[in-house]
Amino acid sequence: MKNPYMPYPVRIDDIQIATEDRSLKTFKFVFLNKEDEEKFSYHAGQFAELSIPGKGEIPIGIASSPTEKGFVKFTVFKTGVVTSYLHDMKAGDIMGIRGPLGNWYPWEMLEKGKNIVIIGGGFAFTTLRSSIIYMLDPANRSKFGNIDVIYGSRSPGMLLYQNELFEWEKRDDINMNITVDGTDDPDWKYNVGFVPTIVEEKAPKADPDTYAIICGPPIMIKFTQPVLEKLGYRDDQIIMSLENRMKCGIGMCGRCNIGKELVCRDGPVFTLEQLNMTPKEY
Amino acid sequence: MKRLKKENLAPFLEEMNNKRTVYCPQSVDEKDIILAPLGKGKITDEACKTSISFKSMLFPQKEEINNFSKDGVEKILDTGKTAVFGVRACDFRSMEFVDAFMARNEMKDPFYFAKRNNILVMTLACNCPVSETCFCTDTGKAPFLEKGFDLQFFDAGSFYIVESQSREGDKVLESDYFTGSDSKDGETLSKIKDNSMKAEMQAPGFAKAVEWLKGNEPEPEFWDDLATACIACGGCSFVCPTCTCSNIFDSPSNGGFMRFRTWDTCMYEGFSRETSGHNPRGSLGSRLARRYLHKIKDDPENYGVSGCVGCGRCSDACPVGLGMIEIIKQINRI
Repeated sequence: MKNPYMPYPVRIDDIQIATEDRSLKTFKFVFLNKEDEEKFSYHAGQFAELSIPGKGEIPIGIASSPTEKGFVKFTVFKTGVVTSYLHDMKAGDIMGIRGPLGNWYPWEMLEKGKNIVIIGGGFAFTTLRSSIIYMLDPANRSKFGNIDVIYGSRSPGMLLYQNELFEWEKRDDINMNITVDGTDDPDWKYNVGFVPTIVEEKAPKADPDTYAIICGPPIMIKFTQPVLEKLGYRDDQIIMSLENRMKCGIGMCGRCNIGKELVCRDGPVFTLEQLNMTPKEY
Repeated sequence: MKRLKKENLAPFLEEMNNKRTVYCPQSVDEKDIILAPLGKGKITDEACKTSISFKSMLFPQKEEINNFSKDGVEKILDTGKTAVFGVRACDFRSMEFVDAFMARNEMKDPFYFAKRNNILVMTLACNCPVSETCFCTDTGKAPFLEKGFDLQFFDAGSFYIVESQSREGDKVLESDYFTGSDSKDGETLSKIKDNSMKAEMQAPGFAKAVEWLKGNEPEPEFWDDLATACIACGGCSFVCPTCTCSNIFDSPSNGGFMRFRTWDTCMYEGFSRETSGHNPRGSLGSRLARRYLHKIKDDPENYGVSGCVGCGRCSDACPVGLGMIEIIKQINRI
C-alpha cells in the first residue's frame, strides 16, 4: 500500500528573494526522479507539503502552473520552525515535497468561456499566479473570456512576481489593476488604494458568466465581500481559498476542519455559498 | 455455535498466542484493567471496560510513518498477526467508525489497515453494564453484536457460548478447547440477550439530542458556560475509541530522522492555532462544541456511523463531569 506520508525527494534549484523585506522567498524545486514529476500532476489552486526531515512539514500553495514543466515553485513566508529553516537552505540542498493536495479552482466549469476576476492581496498571490500563467498559456487562453486582475500589497516592493506583473500589464488579453496601500515613489504609475476600493472602481459588474477568485488576508476578504455583493456577484460566483492550520494535508490529523468540511481534503477552494453553510472557523 | 469452558480460556488464548500476538483485558495492579499482550497480568474473563479501547492496537499512541535514515528513506509497515479477546460490542462499533474514517477518498491509511487486516477480533457481549457510565442501549444499540464480527462470546456462567460469523472465526472454533453446544444454548443465548437489553443503564437521551441537532445548534454561550468547568486536559479524547486526531513530529533517530504520528486532541489550544497567532477555535467553548458536535452530528452525516458508541469513557475520564453523558443531558435541556 502506498504511504501517503512519503514525500518525493527534490533538489532546490533556485531561490529568489520575493519581497523587499526579504520575508518571502520563491523556491524552485526539481524532482530527483523524473517519474515523480509525472506523479505530481497538479491543477492551479492545489497545495503541497514542503517536507524537511528533522524539522517537519508545511502546507504551501503551488505557485507554478501546470503548464510550466520541469520544476515546481513555491513562495514561502518566513514565520515558523520549518519556514525559517527553509529560508536558510541553499540551492542544491535536497528535501521533500508531498502532494499535490486538496482541490483546485473549478477549471472544468471556468474553461467554458467564463470571465475571470482575480482578486489578491499581499502574500496570497501564489495560487493566483499559478492560475494566471495557466489561463494565459496559448493552449488555454481561448477557453476563457475576459481576465481581470486586481492585486495589491502594502508597498511596491512587497508585490510578488513583480516582473511578471509588469509584463502582464503590457498585454491586451489580460486587464491588470496593480495597487499599493501607499508609496512615496513619484514614478509609481499604477493604482494607490486598498484592494476593496480598487475592486469597487475597476472590477467588472457581475453577469452570469463572470466568476471572482479571491485570496488574501482576512481583513481584505472581509471588506471585498460586500463590494462584490454590491457589484451583483452571487455567493456561488465568489470562489475562495482557505488556509487553516494543517499537519497531514490528507484529511487524517483533524485540525483544519470547519464543521463537516476538512480544508485540506474538501478544500482549500470553496465558494462563498459553501462557506456560508459552515461555522465561521477559519 | 460452540462452547468454551471458562477454565479453558487462558489455555485457548495461549494456544492462539503461538500463531498471533494475543491481547486481552488484564488486571496488572489490582486496579486498572488494561488491554495488553498475554502474560502482562491476570486475565479478566468477564466483560469489562479497559481504560483504553483496542483502537490503540490499530492506531497506536505513537507510531513511525517515515524513516529518513542514513541509508535512505525506508517504509515501515507493521504486518504482524494479532488477535484480541474481550472486545465489547461498543468498542467493536467504534472500529466500524474508524474503518470508515481511515478509508475515505480512495486513500486508505496504510498504517492503520496493515494492522486492521491482520487482527482477529473476539468480542465479548456484556450481560449487564460494566460500569455506571455505560449507555450503549441509549444510543440505540445493543450490548452485543448482530453482525460483522469474527467471533462473539457470551458469558453463560461457567462457560461461554461462542458464535462465529466468518471463515476466520470458524477456523478458530476448530480448536479442541471448544466443545459442541447444548440444545438449550440457543434458548440461554436469547435469555442473555433479552436480559442485557433490559439492564438499567445511563439514559441521557442520546436519540433525542441527535434528532434535535439535525435542525438546531446550541448557541456559543451554551458551550462557553460548559467550558467554565473544562480544564482542557484532553482526557476525553485520549480515552475515546473513535477519536482519530493526530499530530506529526520529527525526531532524530539512528543518524537520521524519524517522523512520527501521535494521538492529539482538539481540546488543546495549540491544536488549530496558526503561526500568526490566529486561532479559528481560540476559545475553549468553541473547542468543546467542535469535539462533541462532530461526534454526534457531523460524523453520522459524513460516514453514516455515529462517532459516539456509548462506552462512557469520556465521562469516566473527565475530572469535571463533562463527558458525553452530561453534554447530552445539557443539550436536551435547551
